[in-house]
Formats: sequence, structure tokens, C-alpha cells
Amino acid sequence: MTLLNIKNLTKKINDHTILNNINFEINEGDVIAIIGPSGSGKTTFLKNIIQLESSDSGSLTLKDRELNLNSLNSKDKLWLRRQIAMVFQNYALFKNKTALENITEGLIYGRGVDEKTAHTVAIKELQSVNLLEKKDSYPHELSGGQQQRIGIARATALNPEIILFDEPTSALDPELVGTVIDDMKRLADQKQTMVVVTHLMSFAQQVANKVIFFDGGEILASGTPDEIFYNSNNQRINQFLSAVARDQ
Amino acid sequence: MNISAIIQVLVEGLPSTIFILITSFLLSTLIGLFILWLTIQDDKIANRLVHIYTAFSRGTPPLLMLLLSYYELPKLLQLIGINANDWNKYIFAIFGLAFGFGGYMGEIFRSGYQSVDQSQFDAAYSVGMQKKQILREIIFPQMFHLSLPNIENMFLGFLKASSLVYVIGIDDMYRKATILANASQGVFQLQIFIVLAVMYWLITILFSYLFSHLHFGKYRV
Repeated sequence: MTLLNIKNLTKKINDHTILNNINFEINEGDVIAIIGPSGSGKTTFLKNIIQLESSDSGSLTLKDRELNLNSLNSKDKLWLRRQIAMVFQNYALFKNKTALENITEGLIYGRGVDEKTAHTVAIKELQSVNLLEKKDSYPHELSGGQQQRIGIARATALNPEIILFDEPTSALDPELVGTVIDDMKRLADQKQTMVVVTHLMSFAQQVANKVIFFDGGEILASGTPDEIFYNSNNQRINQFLSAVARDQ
Repeated sequence: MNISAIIQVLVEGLPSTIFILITSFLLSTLIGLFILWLTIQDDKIANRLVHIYTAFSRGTPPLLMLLLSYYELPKLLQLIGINANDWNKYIFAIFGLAFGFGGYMGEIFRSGYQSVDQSQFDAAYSVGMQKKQILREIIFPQMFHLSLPNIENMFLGFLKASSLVYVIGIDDMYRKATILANASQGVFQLQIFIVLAVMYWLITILFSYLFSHLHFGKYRV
């Protein structure tokens, strides 16, 4: 069943087109991996979905509610952000809050949950990412991998329809990548709908059920991992995959 | 004239010095926060006003600000029907110093605000928080944390600048010292000013100690 449908999304900065007429659809339980070269508009696309960046045109339909993306008011944006959560490349944890508070802030202020319930939910989420013993630690006292797993716990605590991941492992040391990937695999197993911008082709192949290739602010191709990675006739995709394979 | 006699006279001016220091610093902090608020409004006119005030405040001597406040502010207030001629001179001293240093305070808060990792705004919006909540819960605490060393410097700058209020006849420590030096025909001037310098220095040490124990949590920004 279609959960989110985006039509004709366009984003410009001055006269430069960052996203050009993007059409995108995601079903419940889908894990969609977005791949493509740097500067192709992947992160901007995620930020447009959750409206951390404004869009110039296009529409978004989520849970049978259609929103015109170039005329959203603050209530629309708030509603959208209450359906979708995001995990950031640089973790973006609140530096003056403990691990536990990083999770409860969104519940208390974003969802209006009372403090006691928020605390209970946060403890449960910390347990699920195996970081309960770090609940009173501040971000600077955590490793990159631990910070990112708190970032994931912060997103899942909100029980969103969709979680957007913006290159969640690219700022991590190679040996810490696995811990974050394990948490994402666990979410995929739980049928959490996810959109993941990633440079990890192995993740896209093993976990995603659909892969989208971005280039120059457009979706150049989309399909199953097999179609994109092994059976694509698109020269640009093959060129990109060869370059990535050389580097990894 | 022995040292204890000098100290006894200078201490009489201590309450005025401390009172002017703290009140003008607090008022200046409010002005600085107001400037920050205008700066983050993303409003061209507000930003222009901030720019003009900051340039004026930083480009004029505090002594001039004090004199303008004491002699000219009552005339300005008279124009809008407020009679300020009978107001206590402390009001003009505090306002003159605070207005003169407000631009510096605004700059301290602005640089602190800009030093806070702005990706936290995105993260906070993404969990459904609204701007007021984000500023109150996430950004401002970190801004104060980052600004603290500069705020301390500014506070100590206020202590020194507070000695300028002698020009409008306020009996602070500095004025007590000059009166005492004049009364002794300058014979004990060196001793008096050394004692005065030591007293300012001790106050500086005391407030530096208090600032070193002031923090906004165990976190690191």
C-alpha cells in the first residue's frame, strides 16, 4: 500500500535547479536506498520530504492527505514532521542534553508526551540500541557510532511512519559502521519504512528492496537492487558503480 | 596617613562601584540579548538598525556616552514630555555605561549564537519542535556556555569603566580616592592610588573566581 507519494518536486536555489521534477513513491515497510554521486541532490531531497528545506513546486501525499509543497504553512510542516523522522550524517545530537534527554526532547516538545511516559519510551529505545548504560552521557562522551545509534533511537522513539537516513555511516570509522548497520537491519526486519541515502552499496544490495539512482538533481533510474547493480544498461550508473567499487 | 585610613575612605565608595557595575552590566546584557533577538529575525530593517547601533556603540568612548547620558538625555526626554531633571544621577550613569557597551554585548551573544552547531536546528525541527522551544531548550543554553569567557571579560571591562562615573559626581571608589588625594595636597597620592589599584585588582580576582564556578552543565559544545 502506498504510504508516501511525491509528484513533480522541484527545488531551485537562485536560478540553479537542485531537484528537477522528482516523482517518488514509497510503500509501507519499504526500505529504499538512494545512491548517486556527491552533489546530486540526495540530501536536499530528504530535507525537502521533511521540509527542512522549502520546495519550489510539487505535491506530497501522505496518509491520504495531500499537501502542495510550495504553499505549506507552519501547521502543515509540523504535521509532516510528526509523521516522518530523520537521522543525520553528522548525528546532530543536542549537545547540551544527555543521551536520554536527546530522545525525550522530541517526545515532550514535538509530540506533547508527558515527561514520565517520554522517559519510559526513551529507556526502551536505549535498550534496543544497547546503550542504556550511556543514558546520562553527553554527546561528547560518546563515540561516533554510539552518537549515531542515539540518533536512530531519537528517531524511532517518535514512532514515525517513515524514517529518513542521510548517509548515517559516512562520518564513522570503518569499525563502527557495523553497529549502526545492525540497528538499521533490525528496523528493516521490523518493517519500519525507511529511505536511506547511502554510499554503502552492500547495504543497498542486502537490506533495501528498492534502489534509486540520483544524478544532477534527477532520478536517473530506480528498481530492485538486482536491476540497478547487476542488470542496468545505463552507462552513467555503471560508471558510478565501477568508481565506487574501485574505491571500496 | 596610614594605609588603613586610606582603605577606610575608599571602602565608602565600594557600594557605589559594585552597584553601578552590576546594574549597568545587567542592563547591557538585556540590550545585548535584544540585539541578538533583532539579528535573528531575518528582517532587513532590524538588521540595519542593529548594525548602526553596534557601530555607534563600539565607535564612541564610554566617557562620552556617560556625559551624553547625563547632560543630553534629560533634554531628549523633555521633548517627549518626561521631566528627568530630578532623576538620580545613578540612572544616567547606569544607562550611559549600558548603552555604550550594549553593542559589545550584542556582538558577544551573536558570535556565541553563530558558534552553536546549526545542524541541531534541523534535528530539533525534525522531531517536531518549534523555533521558540528550540531556542530555549537547545540553542540559548549552548550560546551562553560558549559566550561565558567573553561575558567575563566584558564584566571586568565594566568594572574598570565604572570608575568613569566620577565625572558626573558619583561617589564611587575612584572619586573617593581623588578627593582624598586632593585633600592631602597630593602628598599621599601615590599611596592612595596604589591602594585603589589593589582594591580594583581584588574585586577582579573575586569576580573571576565566581565566574570560574559558573557553568551551564557538564556538557561540551
